[in-house]
Amino acid sequence: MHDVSLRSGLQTPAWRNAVAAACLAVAVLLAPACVWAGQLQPLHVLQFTLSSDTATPTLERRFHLIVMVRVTQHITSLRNLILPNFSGLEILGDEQRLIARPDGTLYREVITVVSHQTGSIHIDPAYLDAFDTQNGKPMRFLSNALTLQIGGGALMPVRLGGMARTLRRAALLLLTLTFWGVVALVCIVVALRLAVERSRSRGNQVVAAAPAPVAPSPAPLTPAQSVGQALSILRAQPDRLGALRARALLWEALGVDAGATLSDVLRSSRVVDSRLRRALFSLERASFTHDGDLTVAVSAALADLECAYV
Amino acid sequence: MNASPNDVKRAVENTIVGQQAVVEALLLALIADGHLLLEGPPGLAKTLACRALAAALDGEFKRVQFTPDLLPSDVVGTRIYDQHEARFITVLGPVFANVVLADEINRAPAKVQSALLEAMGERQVTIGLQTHVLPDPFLVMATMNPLDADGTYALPVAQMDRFLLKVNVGYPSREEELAILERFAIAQTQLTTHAATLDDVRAWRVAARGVHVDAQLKRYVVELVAGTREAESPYIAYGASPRATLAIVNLARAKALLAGRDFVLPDDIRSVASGALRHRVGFSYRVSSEGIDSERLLSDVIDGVRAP
Repeated sequence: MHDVSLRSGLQTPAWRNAVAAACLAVAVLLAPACVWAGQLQPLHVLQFTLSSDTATPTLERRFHLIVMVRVTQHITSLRNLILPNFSGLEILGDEQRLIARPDGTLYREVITVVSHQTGSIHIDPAYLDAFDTQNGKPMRFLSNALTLQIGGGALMPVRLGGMARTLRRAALLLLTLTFWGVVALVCIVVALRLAVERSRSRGNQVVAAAPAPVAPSPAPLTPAQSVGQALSILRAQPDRLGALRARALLWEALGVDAGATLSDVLRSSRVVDSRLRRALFSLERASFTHDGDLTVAVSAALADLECAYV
Repeated sequence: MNASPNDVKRAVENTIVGQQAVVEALLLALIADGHLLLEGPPGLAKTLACRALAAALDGEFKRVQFTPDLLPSDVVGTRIYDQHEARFITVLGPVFANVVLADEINRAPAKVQSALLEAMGERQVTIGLQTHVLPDPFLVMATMNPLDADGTYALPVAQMDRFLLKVNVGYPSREEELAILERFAIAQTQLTTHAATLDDVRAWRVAARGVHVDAQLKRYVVELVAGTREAESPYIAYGASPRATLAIVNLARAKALLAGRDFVLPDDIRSVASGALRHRVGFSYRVSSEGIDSERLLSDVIDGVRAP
């Protein structure tokens, strides 16, 4: 009997309306979440850090907070990155950069801040909402939190009062005026002395020698010229030292850093000629081979350089 | 027969698709008379690579699956009572082979790991009162699976140091995986044999020891290893030991021999440095907590040292 009354109660129009309204409410609540998931960037986040460029920030001295996000995707913008509240810090600037790298993209945001009070400041983690390509789910990535200890020196008050601030400004003004006064005085003395010396030299009828002509800075060598010079060096000094000097000259002319290795040089777009590549390898051999092979290696390097020069 | 290391390389590459880093690391370890540690997920032809190498050399291959209930005697051997002979006889363990695969070495307790690592270092095993010399050449390739860390026993730093080099193995490319399908879906695996002999390997080792390393390059190696100790990075907890210096020089010599040279170039050193340092440099907890790529940290240290 009780069952019958319950079933009949569920079938009443009033109950059906209530159920429909509840379903609508749930749908309305879930809709933004679905839209949110659809708008997320698909990302594989490798690194997400929040750091400060100084371990010891100082009162009233600007420093930088750096947010770094490294992802494997090549992206042109990073959406849904939410920075924490920097309470206790005044934001002076914010610079965002996306750096494309062979293995993905590096996002770097530098926030310039200044603190007006000493003591400890805690910064909550930044977060990034994205669609994680690792597990195929929308995720919230969190950076690390940051706690900064703002130091300010024992003599510096936490907040300057109105009177103290006026006194400080007056002292600064006085110091600035004194400094510029001293600078002006020195300039006048130097100018007077120069004028006296010039009049004396005019009286002695001594003609000052013309300044020596400054040699123009040498133009960068072309690859052919550098091969020619390397050849001259090795001809003049056909030993290991000569090979090392010729090698260094050639590498510099090819725009490769001195600390690089041969594979870096061969990867350079300026080294496409097979004769030049052979000459580079021969010089490498002459630079590092054992003494028993040195004469042959230097001869081979000379021959290959000649071949590359022609 | 005077085969070259490249004959063996080609023989192994006939069986294995891709995984050039593993094949080269196996040959470098073989020539430099060291052992190899491999970290990578299962199913990447690690066993096949070892078997192919042993077959190419006409050597003996053994595989040990490390499990938590493994005993040292299961690896090195034991003495058992023979009822017919009415005396104790020695049964040698799987470590007595030319190429030994220690699969998932971090799944066995420390005493088993220690037994194998001691055999690797000493090249001999004592069972009861008798000392047995291991075969020559003797190469151990140990693997670690990074995916299932539960219930594993991480290798201590001192034990890791005994491996000449460590290679991180990744998944093959799509093209390589397609080639794997083509090669293995139809026919059984064919191993290439007789590419070289064990005597050839011994001859290569002698030749590698004679490969010239210029004084500037020795200094470069020392600077590289010192760079790991002196790196002012909050992510590096400790640097590599002097054993790393020796390892880099030996590997560079092997690399030069593989390239057909009797002198080492700066490129040889830079190309083997990460393999020799990867497992010898300790990274701080911040690397994992901040999701930083330790390989990038290591390459930053290596790139920070100027090559001669």
